[in-house]
Amino acid sequence: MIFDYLDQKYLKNQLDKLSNLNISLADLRDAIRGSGAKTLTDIVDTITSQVDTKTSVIDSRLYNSGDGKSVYDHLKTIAETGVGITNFPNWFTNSTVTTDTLNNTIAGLKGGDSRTLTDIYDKLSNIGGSVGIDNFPDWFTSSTVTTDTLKSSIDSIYNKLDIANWIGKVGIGDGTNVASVISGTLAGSSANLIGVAPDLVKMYAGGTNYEESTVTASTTESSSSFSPPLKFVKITNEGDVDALIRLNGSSATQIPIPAYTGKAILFPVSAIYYVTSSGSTTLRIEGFA
Amino acid sequence: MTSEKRAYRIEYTVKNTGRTADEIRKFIKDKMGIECFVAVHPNRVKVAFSSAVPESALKILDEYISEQMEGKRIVTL
Repeated sequence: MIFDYLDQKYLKNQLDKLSNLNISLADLRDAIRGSGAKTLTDIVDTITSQVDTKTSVIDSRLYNSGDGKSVYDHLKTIAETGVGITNFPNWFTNSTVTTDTLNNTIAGLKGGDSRTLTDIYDKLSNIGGSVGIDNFPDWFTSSTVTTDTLKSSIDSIYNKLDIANWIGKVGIGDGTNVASVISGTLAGSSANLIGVAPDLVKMYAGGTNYEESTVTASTTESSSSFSPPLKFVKITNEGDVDALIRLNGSSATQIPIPAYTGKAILFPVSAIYYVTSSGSTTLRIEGFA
Repeated sequence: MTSEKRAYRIEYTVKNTGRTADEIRKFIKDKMGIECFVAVHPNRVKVAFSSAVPESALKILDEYISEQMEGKRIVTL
């Protein structure tokens, strides 16, 4: 009879190894699953679902179903045709404007001395520091004279230029007998500007150098002279025949004064020559020297 | 005692305008020593003095106007 047996040393050795297994198989299973008790199946399912989701997102980035083009398609287009630059001004994308052009433009801005913005900054920084303002009067550099002071002075001058002051200052009559005025704009405001003074002689009656005469103008030229010259003259044609006058010389240009009209002359007149083409008329000459 | 009449403005009728206003004014200034304003028209000469002139002094001017322009004083104010 023959028996099979195990070698005891071998068997003891194997039993010694078994003695090292200090946990049960169930504990080992639980330890592998971890606290979430996930099985390998759970892990596979999770990975599979996540892969599908992420792949879908990546796919949407790489391929646009709207225009049916992938990243590859766009890269291929760029490689073949280049990139359109639509948001730059024409001069930037214009093929005739080169970097040389830009360089020349910049050189022009820098000028013959090739000044940079830093140079200009340095110069400006020095103003007030090293540059003295020696040629201005004291009132200009005085800290007590402000722009308010200047404005006050300007306002004072402006007020003295008021039309009411003009009438008083120039002394034409008493300023109240101007029978006719011309409206106009002075310093942005409407005002009455002296235009015609029909009662000029009456206004000036208190003086001595005034003139008021009537003369007859006929087909033979006649003249009247004044010394000192009249500063203001009003010539009125009171008749029904047109007249022609010359001022300050018998060869001066003739000035027509139609019947029943007049001329007001605002420059010195030392002589008036008058004539008619036909017939005669009466001219009233008024003025003062 | 009566004071002599004095004039500020005088006028002459003249038959010719042989003298200009400038010439008459210069005459008055030189001979009478007074400033004035003179207007000469075809038939009339007007003189306005800057201050009153005594009647006696006007005789110089009367003679001048008479000789030069055949004039006669018609207004004395």
